[in-house]
Amino acid sequence: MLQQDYLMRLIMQFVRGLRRSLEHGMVDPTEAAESVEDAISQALDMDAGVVLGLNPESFASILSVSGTDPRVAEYLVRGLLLEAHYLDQAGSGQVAELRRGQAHALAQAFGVDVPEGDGVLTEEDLDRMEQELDV
Amino acid sequence: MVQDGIQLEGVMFEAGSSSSRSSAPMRAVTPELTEDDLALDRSLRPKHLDDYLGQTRVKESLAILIQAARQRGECMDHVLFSGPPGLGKTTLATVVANELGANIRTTSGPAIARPGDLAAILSNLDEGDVLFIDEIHRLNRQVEEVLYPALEDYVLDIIVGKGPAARSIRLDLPRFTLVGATTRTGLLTGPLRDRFGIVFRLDYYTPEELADIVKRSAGILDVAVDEEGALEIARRSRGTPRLANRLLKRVRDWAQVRGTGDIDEDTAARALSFFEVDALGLDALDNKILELLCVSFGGRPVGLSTLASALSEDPDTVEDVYEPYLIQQGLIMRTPKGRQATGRAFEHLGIKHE
Repeated sequence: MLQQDYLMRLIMQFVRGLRRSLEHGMVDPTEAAESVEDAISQALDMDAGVVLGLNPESFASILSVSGTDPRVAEYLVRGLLLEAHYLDQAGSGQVAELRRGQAHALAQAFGVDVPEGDGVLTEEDLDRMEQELDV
Repeated sequence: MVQDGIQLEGVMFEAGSSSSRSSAPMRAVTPELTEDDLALDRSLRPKHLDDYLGQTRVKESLAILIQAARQRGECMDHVLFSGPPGLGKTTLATVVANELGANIRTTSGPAIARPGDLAAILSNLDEGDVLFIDEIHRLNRQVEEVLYPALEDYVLDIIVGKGPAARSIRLDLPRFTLVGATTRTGLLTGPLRDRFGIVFRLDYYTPEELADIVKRSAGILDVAVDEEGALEIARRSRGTPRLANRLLKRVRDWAQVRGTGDIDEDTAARALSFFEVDALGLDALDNKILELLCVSFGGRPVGLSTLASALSEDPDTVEDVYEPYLIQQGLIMRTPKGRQATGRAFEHLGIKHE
């Protein structure tokens, strides 16, 4: 039960972080990317500064062996794709490519479907995510 | 937090980015890497030990270490090259990689700002690669902490969780050889220095060694230079191959426009005088410092800030950029009361020392 509460809190924080990034994204893609990365860093619950630098395969391996919950992994995939989208807009193509690679490797490792499209989330998507959590 | 600075590919030499981050103007005799050197360097850099001239002791040791590692089919121990800028540390790193038959990944201390940057580089290495970190003394402590287990056990330690529940997961890395280069060994932390199995200090080159380098470079650049011409360039190159190659290029230009195109002793001397590089390798600014100390201040000791004001430079630039070579040549000395010209400085300027 405690574990379940912890997970829900973690994911809700993450969704709130993504919502904040949408507000930034209207104005400044760099700030939006930073906002998403902050949310991802918190959700990772590990040394994000190091982990987010890893190549996609190593990134997925570390999350697998660290016991990351598959539901968190699913949200992380969406977060990584969203960050990649903002990074592309901010002109940081190399890091965007890394994030996209990490998202795909993570999805494969956890058997999660990669959302179609360019990774952009809307307010409606986030509302739906929160509703799923309430259930 | 966005890791915009991650370098996944071979990187990065900023012009004049070595040890000194001063505001010194670009000089013909600076040993720092300039934009002009970059294109020149690519064609002139030796690729194998047999092509590398000078630093005989270092070469002999490296040849044995490389051969031993190859025979065992293992990576070579991590290597540290230290010494002043322009002596061939980067070239040696490339030579090591070529001799080992390995790929080289190049980066520099200031470019690895965060642990994630280093994690990106390490996790993208292939088995047996050579990782070259220039200016390794400029790595920050957090990055160093990530590097230690990578050097010792070829693993990355990643902390999972927080507080009492925190635990560590190890990510295996491919075995690799780190080649570090530094102009300031004293700034390396003890723990990092101790993790290099092999440490080489590169010395300034003799004029004869530099003359051989000039002749080799002239051959690549398709310029005719005789023995005396090469030696004349070498004598004015401050013991530094990078400078010798740069001066060769200037002399080549002068010889093409004002001479026959061939370089002999007289051509080299006249060309370098034209570019204000004198017989000791001093440029106009070096000589201005000597004139200030010998003439304006009458040979008395002068405080660093006073000297800097007289030159319209900042004291750090004077101390880091101009002074070292003048001190090495015995032209000035540091005394408790300030900088003072030696008898050799008076002699060099042709002034009677009272």
